[in-house]
Amino acid sequence: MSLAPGAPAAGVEGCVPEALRVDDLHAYYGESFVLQGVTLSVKAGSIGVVLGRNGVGKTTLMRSIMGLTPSRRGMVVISGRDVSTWAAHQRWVTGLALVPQGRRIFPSLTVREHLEIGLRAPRGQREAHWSVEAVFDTFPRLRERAGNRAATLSGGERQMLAVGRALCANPDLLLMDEPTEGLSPFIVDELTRLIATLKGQGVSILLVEQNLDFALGVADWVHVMEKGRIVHQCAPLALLADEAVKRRYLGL
Amino acid sequence: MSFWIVNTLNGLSLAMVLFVLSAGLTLVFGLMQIINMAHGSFYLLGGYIALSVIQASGSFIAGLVTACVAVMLLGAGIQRLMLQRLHKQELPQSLLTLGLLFIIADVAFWLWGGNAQLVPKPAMLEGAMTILGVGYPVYRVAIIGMGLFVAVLLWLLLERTRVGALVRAGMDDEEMVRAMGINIPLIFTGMFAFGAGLAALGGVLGGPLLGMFPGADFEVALLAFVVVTVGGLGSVRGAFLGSLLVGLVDNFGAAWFPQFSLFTVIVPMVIVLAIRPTGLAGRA
Repeated sequence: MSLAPGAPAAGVEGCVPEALRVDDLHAYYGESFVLQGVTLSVKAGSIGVVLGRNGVGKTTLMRSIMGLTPSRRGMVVISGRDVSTWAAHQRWVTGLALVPQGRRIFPSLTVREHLEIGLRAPRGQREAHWSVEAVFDTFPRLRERAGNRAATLSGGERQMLAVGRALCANPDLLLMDEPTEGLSPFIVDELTRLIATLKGQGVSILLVEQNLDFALGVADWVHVMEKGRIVHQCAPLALLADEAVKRRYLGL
Repeated sequence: MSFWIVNTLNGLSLAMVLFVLSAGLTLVFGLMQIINMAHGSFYLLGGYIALSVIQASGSFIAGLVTACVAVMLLGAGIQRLMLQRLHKQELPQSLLTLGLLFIIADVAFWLWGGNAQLVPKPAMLEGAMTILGVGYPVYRVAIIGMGLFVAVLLWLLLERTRVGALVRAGMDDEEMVRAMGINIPLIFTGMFAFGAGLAALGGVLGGPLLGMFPGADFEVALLAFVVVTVGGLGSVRGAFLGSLLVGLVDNFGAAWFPQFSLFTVIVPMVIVLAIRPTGLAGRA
């Protein structure tokens, strides 16, 4: 498995094409310098995980890929297209969807409204796997609360809604920022199964996580982040065995 | 008895003019955090444009439509060319709209002069009707109906359409809406234009009652700010409740204590805010 930083873009010489490539990305948050040259890529149909301690820039990385935090330098390439200068709503058109940190559901919208405004036809020849009904089938609890305002949902329900809202976009590339935060182990298991389903549908995923067991269970490739850079990359099993990296970068 | 009936109806008709005006103010604030000092200017321009068009064409409807469309376009232009650059900068935005208030007031003075002018009523709404044994102007009753109609329409728009859901989502979390592929600047422009159009509609409807004159912009804007503060910033339901309160209190206050006219409006505002700092229906 070769996944060198800065590997050639989409489909050259029979390589698996890249769903996402981030190249030397620099970004600031206020006065502080949060991304200091991040380089990583996610192969089409695979699941990349970004691990790292709090405050190393993981969320800023996700925001920069989505186009919510402007980058000062570097490149974001989605499905072979350089979107570095695009606004968030333009990037969305490339098949991007975000499950943001902290859920960020809309308190004054009903559950069903969240899913309806999130709806998007899949791009190209892809099958439409997701609809409001499909999300309700995956999270039956949301169907029960379809007409309720999101302000009345519990934490777990909010997380399901945040995921369901992103699924309704029929994404090609799904960005998930700590989706297991505050979830019960039972819902984490459901999320693990869901990610396997998505992978089966050919969705590429970039996942930021604190929950190591969950992350390594779903990952195809792991990126370890420290002080605004990717400092280590490996397969999930290799990380599990690498006590030095775990101790040094993850505080385990 | 007729004192109560007349003053209640007067209060309700003023309340409906205030509601149409304030709904735009509160929606624009709720979505974009713009404290639009020039909202009263849109009201004034709406009334004046309707006045000129009605005088030229003889048609109230033509005046109403022209005024609303023209002021909406003006609002769209102001948002696109000026306010958009100051997004999320509340103080510069307020100062900019304050400047516009003065400019529009001077332009209106230059075009329409300094005398108070009543916008002509539609011919079919002239005259009086009898309500509970009291003679009462048909036009004022029509305004009450019109205000209720606008309230229902706004409710349907916000609660039952996709655009309404997007607007509410934008009020909750603008950034997340952008991450869902929505071109939010376009929604901002549309909403600012819509709010300006509502203010103009307020001017057209209120013009035959309150008249248009230099300073009318400031007078109604003050009441509209009281309405949205009492009702709760960003809430249309709040604007409706606030309008009823201010409209009725203003009328009964003027009847009982004419020497304290503005005082009687401000006192209920202070009381409401002391009990509910976010207003009657404010977003937390």
